[in-house]
Amino acid sequence: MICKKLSFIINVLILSLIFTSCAGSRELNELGIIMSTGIDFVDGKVLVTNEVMMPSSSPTKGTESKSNSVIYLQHEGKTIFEALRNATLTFDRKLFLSHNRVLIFGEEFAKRGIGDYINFYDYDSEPRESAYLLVAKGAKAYEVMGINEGLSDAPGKYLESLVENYIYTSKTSSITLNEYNRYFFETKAPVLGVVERIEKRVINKERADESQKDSRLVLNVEGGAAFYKDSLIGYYTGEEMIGFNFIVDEIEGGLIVFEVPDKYISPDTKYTGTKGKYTVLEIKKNKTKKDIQIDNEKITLNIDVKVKGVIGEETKGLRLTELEVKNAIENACSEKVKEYINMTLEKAQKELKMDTFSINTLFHQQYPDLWRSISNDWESIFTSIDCNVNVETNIIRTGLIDIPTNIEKGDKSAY
Amino acid sequence: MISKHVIENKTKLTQLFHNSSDLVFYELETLANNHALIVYIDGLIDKRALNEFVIMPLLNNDISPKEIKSSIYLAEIKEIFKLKEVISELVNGHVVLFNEDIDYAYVLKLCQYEKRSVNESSTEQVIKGPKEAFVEDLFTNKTLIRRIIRNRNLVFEDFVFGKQTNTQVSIVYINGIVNQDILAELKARLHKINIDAILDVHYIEEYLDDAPKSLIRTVYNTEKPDVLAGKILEGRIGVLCDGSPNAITLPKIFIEDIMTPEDYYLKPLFGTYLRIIRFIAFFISILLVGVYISLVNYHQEMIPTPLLISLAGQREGVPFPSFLEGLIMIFFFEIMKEAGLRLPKPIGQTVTLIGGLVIGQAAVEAGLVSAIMVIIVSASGISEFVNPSFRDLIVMYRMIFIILGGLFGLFGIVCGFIIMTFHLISLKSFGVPYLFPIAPYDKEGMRDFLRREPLKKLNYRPKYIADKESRRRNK
Repeated sequence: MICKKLSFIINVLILSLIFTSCAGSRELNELGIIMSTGIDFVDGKVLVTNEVMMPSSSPTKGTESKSNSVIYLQHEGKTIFEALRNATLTFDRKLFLSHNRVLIFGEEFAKRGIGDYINFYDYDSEPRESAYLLVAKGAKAYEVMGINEGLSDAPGKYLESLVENYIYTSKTSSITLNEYNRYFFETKAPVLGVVERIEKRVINKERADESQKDSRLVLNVEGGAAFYKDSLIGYYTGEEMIGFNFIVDEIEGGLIVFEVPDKYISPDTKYTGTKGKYTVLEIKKNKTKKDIQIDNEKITLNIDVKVKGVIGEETKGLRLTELEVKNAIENACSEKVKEYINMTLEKAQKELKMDTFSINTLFHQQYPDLWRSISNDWESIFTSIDCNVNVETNIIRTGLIDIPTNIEKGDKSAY
Repeated sequence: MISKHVIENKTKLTQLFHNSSDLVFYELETLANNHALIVYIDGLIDKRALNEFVIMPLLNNDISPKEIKSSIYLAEIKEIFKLKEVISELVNGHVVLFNEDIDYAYVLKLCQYEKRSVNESSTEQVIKGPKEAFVEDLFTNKTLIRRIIRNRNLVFEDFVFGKQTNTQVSIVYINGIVNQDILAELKARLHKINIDAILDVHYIEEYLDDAPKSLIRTVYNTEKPDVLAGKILEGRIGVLCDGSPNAITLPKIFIEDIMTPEDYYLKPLFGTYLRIIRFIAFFISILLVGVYISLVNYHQEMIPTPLLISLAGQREGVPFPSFLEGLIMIFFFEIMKEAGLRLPKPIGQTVTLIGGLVIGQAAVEAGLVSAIMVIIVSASGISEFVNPSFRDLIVMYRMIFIILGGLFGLFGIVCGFIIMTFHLISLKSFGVPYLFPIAPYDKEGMRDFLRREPLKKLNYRPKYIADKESRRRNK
């Protein structure tokens, strides 16, 4: 009895030795934990820049400056894998890729095409596929690294948080490695996030370093980088990205800032939406439905957007309590969303000449037979399709007040 | 055989007891001119009662030897005819009265000896509810139970075990609730007991245990009469033993160690909450250290990034691999526990102080162990104290899981956990599956498993344990 049990246990242990995928135990202090990676192409070789976390022996002492908590390694190789391995020639710990949350491509590298190199991140078991992909706009990847103007304890984390903040603005794209792979195979046109350095005024001059007395550099992730297959073909601006996110139904939040045009409710009362006076709607919920119609060889793309939001600010006092006014605001907001969407579509059709919205997938689903005959010419067909945008805005509530404070009491003209 | 001559009996007994100094012979001439001999062991009897109710009547009244039974003021008096019986009565603390010309002796039950008074339980403390605990005296323990269950169906059955000690053992159950099969099985096992000495009820436990080689106990032990009463009211059988302040109940299922009597003295919802806490603590105490070691050795990608960085910072400069570090910490923790337990109380507290300071703070500051390991080990240790009755199992299994985690990572932990679960499921206690409400799933039994069911709704006694026909109440 006990012999049977013992042999069973020993068998299980031996089997566990065979089946374990862990190559062996590695202590934490044998690892170089990478927080972010920059990839460039220099002189026919891949140049990989890594940000490695320096484990501070006393986590309680937070007096060290934030940039001192990481070190940067640069190494070259014919491929990314070789470059990373070459790092061990000059660095005393094996790089640990699992916690790498941000991959930055230099612009030059992105234009050359990233797909052949990025394979490594799918092959290897260590890297996470949930790493964000970013393109350094107009710069080398290592030029945007090493900037930490936030409160995070590492530049990589700072950058990661910036990307994750996209839900508050919808002005950027937060694409991860496996999403990129999906878009790459499905639609041939992924849109990656963008990161660039911009200068900001220094407010607290006493605390700034000598080098940063006049201006300081911060990172900005506004916009998107449009790819064809695996190479960069152009950039979307931040506002175009709002339209883009509306089209691909990736809106998680953000604001729509719009002007309400003048309108008479009755001959003696009108509400005025003067130029330069804005109303702000915070998006709470959005649903975009797309479908394709074909009438005698003419392809029309219908985009139906349903926005639900909250009025958050009005620089021109409008009485939201009046139904007419509310409807006018909703209409104006819908017009603004339409404007965003059309702007983005126009850019994709005229400038980039690339379907970055997965419309080909939609086409394939709806007209599979037709798709087979036109799939090879889709890029040229896409540039000429008509778009029909319908937006429906719904103000589900206002903020804490419903009559703005900048309306004077008894002011009949203000509606 | 008892001789008709008192002197002969005296010499025989002296020989049989090897002249033991505490055997007292008192010879007297009764008023009826009869030569009588009173024999008892010093210290086991109530001498005042002997003087007042036995010796005084014999000296003052004309009582012939045959009339003794009807004229001595004692409730318990009987005749015995064999010398062997005389011996056993004497060692049990009774007085034996021999008379000239009759070939039998009278046994007078006048037991009175030093014993601990009933006081509060030290191991199973409750904030609310009965606090009294069993003492070492079997007779007192029986009365404690009888005082709770005043019912003609409460049955005590007495046995005597131990060739040398002749210890009295008593099983207790409620007729009509007890499962007769289990009772028969228990008696069969008791009859197989062949042991030299019994010093505590756990000696018997080893003979009743279903899985002696396993770490898991298949009998429950308690030192509170209210707990024992609750158990036998559910159809279990209690075993009491003279000289032991503990009683064992059987059959035992897994959840009994998670439950405490206090669950039933608190509000149902709060009792449920506490039970869930204990259940979680059980798993924490077994798995936490092993899982931590396997994570930092094999699965660094599973640790959230900020935590990993802080862990890496703490491990910086620690000379040992974390596997060894964990083993050392657990080892010293066990040593500290044992030291605090074995030492007399006043010194025991200083041990914890020194241990806490030395092992906790100084080791971390000296850079021998990482602070997180101290936290993990103490969390595991504190969780261990939540279920004291699981102590043996937790200590051993925790060690096993540390080794598995250190050698094979989470894979080893999972394998070990599966084996542990298999083992638990395969166990039976007197034919009752050990993981009873779960493993053979029973809806009625799950009512009072992790949930502390309100008493109003407890209509059934546990399946398999109690008699099939018995209900708590007829709806």
